[in-house]
Amino acid sequence: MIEEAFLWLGHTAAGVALQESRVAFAATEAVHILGLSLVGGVILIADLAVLGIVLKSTPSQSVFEQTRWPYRLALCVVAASGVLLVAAGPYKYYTNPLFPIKLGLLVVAATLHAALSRRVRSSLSADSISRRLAGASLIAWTAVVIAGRWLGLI
Amino acid sequence: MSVIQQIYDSPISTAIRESDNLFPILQTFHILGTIALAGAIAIVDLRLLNVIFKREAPAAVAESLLPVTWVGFVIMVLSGTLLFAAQSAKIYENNFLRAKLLLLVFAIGNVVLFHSTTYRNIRNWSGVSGPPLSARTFASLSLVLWAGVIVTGRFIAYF
Repeated sequence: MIEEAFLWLGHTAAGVALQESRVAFAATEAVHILGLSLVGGVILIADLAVLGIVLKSTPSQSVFEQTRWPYRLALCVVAASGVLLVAAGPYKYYTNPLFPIKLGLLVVAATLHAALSRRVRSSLSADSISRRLAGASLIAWTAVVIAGRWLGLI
Repeated sequence: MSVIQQIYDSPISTAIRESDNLFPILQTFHILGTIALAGAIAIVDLRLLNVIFKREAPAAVAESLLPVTWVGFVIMVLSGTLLFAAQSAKIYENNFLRAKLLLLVFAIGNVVLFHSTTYRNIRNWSGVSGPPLSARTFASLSLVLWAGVIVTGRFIAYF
């Protein structure tokens, strides 16, 4: 079932186009990295704010409220370009043992951010649990990037 | 022997090429540094354009994120220099590398020009009118130039 989904993705018009054009593939990767920079930027700033390192004059609650939509939009860009990159080489990802690990790490990282966001937005000050969540989030997102880089090497 | 060939043949370049993991490790640092640099810069630019953090004063956002930008910049330049050194003889003629370095010079020039002119008044921009046109122009240019650095950087590997 999963194998069929990957193969179907490779046979879509977008998948075929990306398999045939090096420019289109590189451009999709570039969009993936641009989106990643925004997601990463928001995560870094939000987590560092909870840890009291940046935006010290702004309540963490306010930081999370104001980064909610930019984070979601940027994550959509990363996800959409990511699906296209898989469509450009479906079998490579289907057979790559790191691919499910990267996706798993992404789910963990996104869940940590969602949990931290909910906690911070419903309280006035960042407590020690929030700070631990922020630290865990930074580690998890870094792990996603590391897994992403190694994905292309295996 | 050309300078590029000397860089290529240096012990550190050779060590990076001969190692199984050093190159992708440096690439990972390069990506993480780029995320910190470009992410923080994009957030400041988007604040100046009144897109994000509208409730915070431009000065509070810009001054607070500047150290993050510097840390990202140092990581990016150090890892980038080593990545270049390891492949120098093979890629110094690559047009995307040249375009990227040119855009990087423009992007840095844009930062320097912004900080030595418009930015000096940043603490006075908290009113209803927000950042002046000049600040919004610098911010737009910054977004385009840094995105250009990232895009051309990705293309180096393919052409």
